[in-house]
Amino acid sequence: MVRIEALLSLLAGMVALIAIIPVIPYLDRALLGVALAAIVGGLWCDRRRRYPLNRLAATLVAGAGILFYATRITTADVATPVVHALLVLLVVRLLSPKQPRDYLQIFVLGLFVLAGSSLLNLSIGFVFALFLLVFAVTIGLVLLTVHVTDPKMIMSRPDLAKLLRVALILPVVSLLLMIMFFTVLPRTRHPLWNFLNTAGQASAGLSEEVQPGAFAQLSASGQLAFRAETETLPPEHLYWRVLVLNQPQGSHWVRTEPPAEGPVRVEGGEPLTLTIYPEPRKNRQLITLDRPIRVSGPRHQETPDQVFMARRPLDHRYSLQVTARPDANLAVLGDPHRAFYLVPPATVSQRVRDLATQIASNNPETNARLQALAEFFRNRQLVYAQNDLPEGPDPVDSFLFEKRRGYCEFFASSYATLARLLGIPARLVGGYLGGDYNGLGGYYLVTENAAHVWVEVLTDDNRWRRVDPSQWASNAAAALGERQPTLLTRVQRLADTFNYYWIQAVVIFDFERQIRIFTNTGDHLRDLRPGRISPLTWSILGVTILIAVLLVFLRKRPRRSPEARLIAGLRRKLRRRYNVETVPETIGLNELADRFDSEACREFARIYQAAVFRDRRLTTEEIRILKGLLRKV
Amino acid sequence: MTLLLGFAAVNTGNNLLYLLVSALLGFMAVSGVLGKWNLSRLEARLDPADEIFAEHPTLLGIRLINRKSRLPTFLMEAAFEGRSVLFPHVDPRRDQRRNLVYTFPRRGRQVLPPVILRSRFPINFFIRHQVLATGQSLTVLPKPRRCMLPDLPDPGGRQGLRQSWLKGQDGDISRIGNYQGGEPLKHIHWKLSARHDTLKVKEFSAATQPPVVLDLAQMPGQNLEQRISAAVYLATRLLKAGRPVGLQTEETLFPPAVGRLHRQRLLEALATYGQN
Repeated sequence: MVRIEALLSLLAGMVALIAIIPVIPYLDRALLGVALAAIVGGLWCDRRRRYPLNRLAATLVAGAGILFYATRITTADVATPVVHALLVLLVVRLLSPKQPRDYLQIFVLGLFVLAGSSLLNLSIGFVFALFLLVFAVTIGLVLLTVHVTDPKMIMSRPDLAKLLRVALILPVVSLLLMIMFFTVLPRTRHPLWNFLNTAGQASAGLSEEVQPGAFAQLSASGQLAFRAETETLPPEHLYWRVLVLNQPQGSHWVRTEPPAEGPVRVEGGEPLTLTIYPEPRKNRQLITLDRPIRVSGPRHQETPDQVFMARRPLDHRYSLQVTARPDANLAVLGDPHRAFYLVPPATVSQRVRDLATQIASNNPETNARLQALAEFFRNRQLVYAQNDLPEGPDPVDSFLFEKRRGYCEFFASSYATLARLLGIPARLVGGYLGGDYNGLGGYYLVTENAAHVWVEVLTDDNRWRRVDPSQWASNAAAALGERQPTLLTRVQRLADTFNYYWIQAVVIFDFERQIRIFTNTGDHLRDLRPGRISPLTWSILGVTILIAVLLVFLRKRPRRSPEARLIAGLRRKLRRRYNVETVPETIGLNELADRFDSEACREFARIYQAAVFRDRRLTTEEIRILKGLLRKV
Repeated sequence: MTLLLGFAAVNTGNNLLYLLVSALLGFMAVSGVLGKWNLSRLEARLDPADEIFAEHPTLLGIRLINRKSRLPTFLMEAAFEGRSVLFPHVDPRRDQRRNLVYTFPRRGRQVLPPVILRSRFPINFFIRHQVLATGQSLTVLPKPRRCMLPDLPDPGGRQGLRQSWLKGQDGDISRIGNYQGGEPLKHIHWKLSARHDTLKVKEFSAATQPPVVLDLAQMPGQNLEQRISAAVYLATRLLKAGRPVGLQTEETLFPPAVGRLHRQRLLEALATYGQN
């Protein structure tokens, strides 16, 4: 026998625990400890019916908690203090005497804490917590109804199982309906309370300056930068363009407003369109594939050097449609302002200047100078490395002549410096290189440690050409090439696929997508003619009809009782065992046992009749024994 | 709560909140349907006792029949005239009986009031109900009113002079009749049969008390109801004592007799007296 109130107490604890898990990283350690203790303590208190807080104390503690966390609310963060306050209420409820309405409050508070977690974190974990919480709360509410109807109700296990079987319809169907409601619920184009969403957790994104030697911590992290949905591309096409740094400042390269160059045109290469899903970041540059032709997504402004600046901060999730020609050059049709891109860094060592002078004197033509420069980089046997890096006031000199090792920023800034000294306009382009292709989801996954810097040089025919000096490192293939996926990366890719679909299907679902679904559905319905229905639609339709027919059939044919099934089983068994055509229904069990002279059949008859002739149903144990006897017949 | 979260979802554009709101809306919809299912395809029957007297508490059985093929019915409260019983659960295609104590206030033939089925299942936010008219009717017998047994005449009773007009086994020989085929052999009057062509049998009278006819108009009481109640008391007492009882009303005379059926006929006549 099971006491309903004991079950309710257990479910209340479960609801609290499930609600707390998604917000754990955002909670004060002290409150987290108290909350976890309250979950365990609540169960103990319910068992003993002794509570540390009476009604008055509970009200006072709850009021104090709310007041305390209300003072911590700022315009920058509303959600975290609110979640803390909700948690205080939850703790108070768990540790005070419980009436039916208190259980209801625990369930509601659990749902509110989960709702609060959505303002702090948009991870897929939410959906697991939501599933569990919906199950726990709905079953809890059903048990609460039983408890309210009869507070002292004690149910036998089979009766409880029957109740739970029906009660399970609630969460299962609710979650199915959730998908439908999620698609059709009204949405607005511009939410008014966006400030509540602290869930962006925008990462810093790419550094807006290149400073060889000051290795950015972020770049070393495996934090996700963005996902790009496209077919597989050749590795030499995977240059993801973000920003352009055009002026040296000491040993740094920074971005200043580029001069107006007149119209530009992307030339050559095959166009391709892809969708990029960036992670929230603090800076405003949009991520595109080099060379972008068209970008649609958040409202933005394009600069002549193909940097796309969003008008609003990009600290939320969004998607971006990019059409690009990966192989193309950028032709400047107006005045390219060569002088702007020829200013060399102020701190160029004499060795570097001499090198430039030497190359310039040997090669009067721009193309020849570029070739000579490439030749020089290759011959220096430079090593692409992220440790034991060049230091000092002139990292370029140290990189080229002493350490001869460094990462992309050393390669790019050295190359750009030399190019400018040779009279070739050059600028640095910051972005990402490569990416792990996820065949399951059909997208590239690019992490922050794929951040890369390359160079663009302006040739004599006014075309900006991409040059990646890092590729001339002696170990470029190993350092920059595609890595063979290990088992771990495969598992990570699989896990990321779920996350990717989660973001696609849920997190960035907005008004535009909603309208698109409605329009597409309308179009499909208008075009619905037998000849034009795809095999997939036919099969879905077929399976649906089959299930419907099956349901109707099952409804019409009531399930036989276990007793009837056992008897039918016995007759079938006897028929097969003794190879007779039929066992007439009119022959009783005892007579059957005598005719076939079967001891198992006799025992079967005895147990069966002992129950059925006394007008009671067979117990589970008896059914088990009878099934055993059936096997023996 | 759903409204509040829905409002927050629309205003923050947070899709996770939308998910939560969608789940809650789904839950509301499915709990409504489940509540409706719980109450559907149910029948209620009332199982009253054989004899029900007005103003006397009686056990009234309520049988709840679940005609659904798959779903059990849970937490169903069946209310009858303000009193209710709870059926924690009734399996599909099964029925269950619960009793409640009920007092019918007045005598006579009456159509039973409907049974109201109500349930909070699955969620204690609403109570759904339905009114089931059973269409059953019954006769409530008048409340018996204790009164003095009248001094009944018993002429020659003590001297054995009274004639009994009922056939029996243990009284005096009342007459000689022809053998019909069913009489016990020991009743055959062999001497007499020898003188006739047919078998003759002795017929005996029953040992009995003198019959009484209750005249409703003469019953003690200040009004008709009191007189009826007194008649019911006397009829049941005397019939129980084995005395043939008849009933004289203004329109009808029920000749004195004994037996269950006769008792029922008398009591029903009294129950419905003055109501048609």
